[in-house]
Amino acid sequence: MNTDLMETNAERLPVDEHNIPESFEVRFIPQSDWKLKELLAFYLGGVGTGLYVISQFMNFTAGLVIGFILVVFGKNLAHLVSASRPTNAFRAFARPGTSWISRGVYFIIAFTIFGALDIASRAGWIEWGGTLGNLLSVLAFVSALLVMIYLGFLMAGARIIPLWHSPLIPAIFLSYSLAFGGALAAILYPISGIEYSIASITKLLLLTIASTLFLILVHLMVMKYSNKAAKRSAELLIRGNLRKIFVGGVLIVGLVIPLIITGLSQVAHSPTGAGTVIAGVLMLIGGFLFESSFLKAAIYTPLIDVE
Amino acid sequence: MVIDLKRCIGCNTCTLACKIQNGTPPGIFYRKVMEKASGKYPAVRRTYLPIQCMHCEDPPCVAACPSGVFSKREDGIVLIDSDKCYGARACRMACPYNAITFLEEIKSYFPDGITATEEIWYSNHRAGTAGKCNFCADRLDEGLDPACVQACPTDAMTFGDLNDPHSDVSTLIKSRAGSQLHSELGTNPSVYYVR
Repeated sequence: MNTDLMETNAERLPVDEHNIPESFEVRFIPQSDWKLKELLAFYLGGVGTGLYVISQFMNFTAGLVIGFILVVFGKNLAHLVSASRPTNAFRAFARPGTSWISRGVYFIIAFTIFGALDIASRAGWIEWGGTLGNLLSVLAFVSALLVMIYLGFLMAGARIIPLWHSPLIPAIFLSYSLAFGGALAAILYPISGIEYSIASITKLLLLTIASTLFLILVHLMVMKYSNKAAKRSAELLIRGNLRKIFVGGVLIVGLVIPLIITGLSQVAHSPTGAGTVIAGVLMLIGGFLFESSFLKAAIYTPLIDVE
Repeated sequence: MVIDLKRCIGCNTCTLACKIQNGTPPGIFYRKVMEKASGKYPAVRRTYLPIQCMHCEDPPCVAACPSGVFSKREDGIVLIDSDKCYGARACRMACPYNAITFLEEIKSYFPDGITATEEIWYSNHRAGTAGKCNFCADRLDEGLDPACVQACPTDAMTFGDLNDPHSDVSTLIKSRAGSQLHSELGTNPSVYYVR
């Protein structure tokens, strides 16, 4: 056998990840399918629907429009860009009976229609009359809530990823979306120059931060007492490679500091616009890092016991 | 299918047979033999676990896929039509067996680009789509066993009709207490393991 020739051929083979077979060793593997583009889609959807819902209650038309744009253009565009074959994306309508992605598509369409009509009604572009206008607002509100929550159900359906497979995940996404909405409203109000109640925004931020923080901590506690992959995910977030992002960025910067800022101003009965803006910015940053770290820490349950 | 883990020596002949049969590009394995080392020297043990699509009775991939890429034949084989896939990858998150692959892009095994032979091999694959084992449905229709079963040098796999109580697979499962992976999930996989 010509060993020289073999060596020459071996040297010529390119060494890159595609040509080296994947390891077949049983180990903890994090999901690698949903990355930055999906993260952007999820985040923009959460921020947009949150802002829309909060703006409905505060009658903040600019917030309604911006929230609508973030969902209808931002989220959908990010989803289209993340699809490896966007020309086939129309097929996502096919399975609303079983697939949360399909359901999500229908929820987004409902939000697009009812949200547009609601904005037109509130802005006075179309006169619907009281009852129909109210009905449109309710339908827009419900469809926005469904857009907020379907992602949680989609992730909770991944039975092989214990970090996601929890009934708390839809609640966390709902709570975070409302927190996002309050945070962005807190930033947009001073920019818009519209008079608003700083006390109401502060209360809203306080409530949504507290509920989000509580849900995340409970979820992490549950993970600590779950299977090995769940524990591994929790360790990755709390003590592992993601600790700076999760503990520092998500918990401290994104939730605890805003909680202190809004809590203190609430206790002192002296909420300030600057305080709510700072809290809002930190919450938006922390929320993005939360979704990023939850995608990165999602470890598959190995097929057989690893250790 | 019944896989006898006592007979499996982890040679990956089935992995290669599958790659040749399906002409899969680099990095794509519809079948693979997972390995696990356990114990401490000198009492060290190596365990092998061949993995592929389990063709579940209640397949989570079918439910999770938004675009109807998956379908089930009457004989229970779960098929995939990659032409309908748009790359949501929900199937990969839903499959408890890590059995669904995703082809990001078609690359060559060789440094000078895709060869003429590879062009033929890869003609059935679409970049940006999911793929998986189909139990060599074409071979089954011709009365042949799946390529992995035929290639196994230790005869570790037996293929047959699970619904026939007298078939070799049913007998093996009964006599040697065959078990399914993640049976607690209620997917009822069609691949059993015996020890």
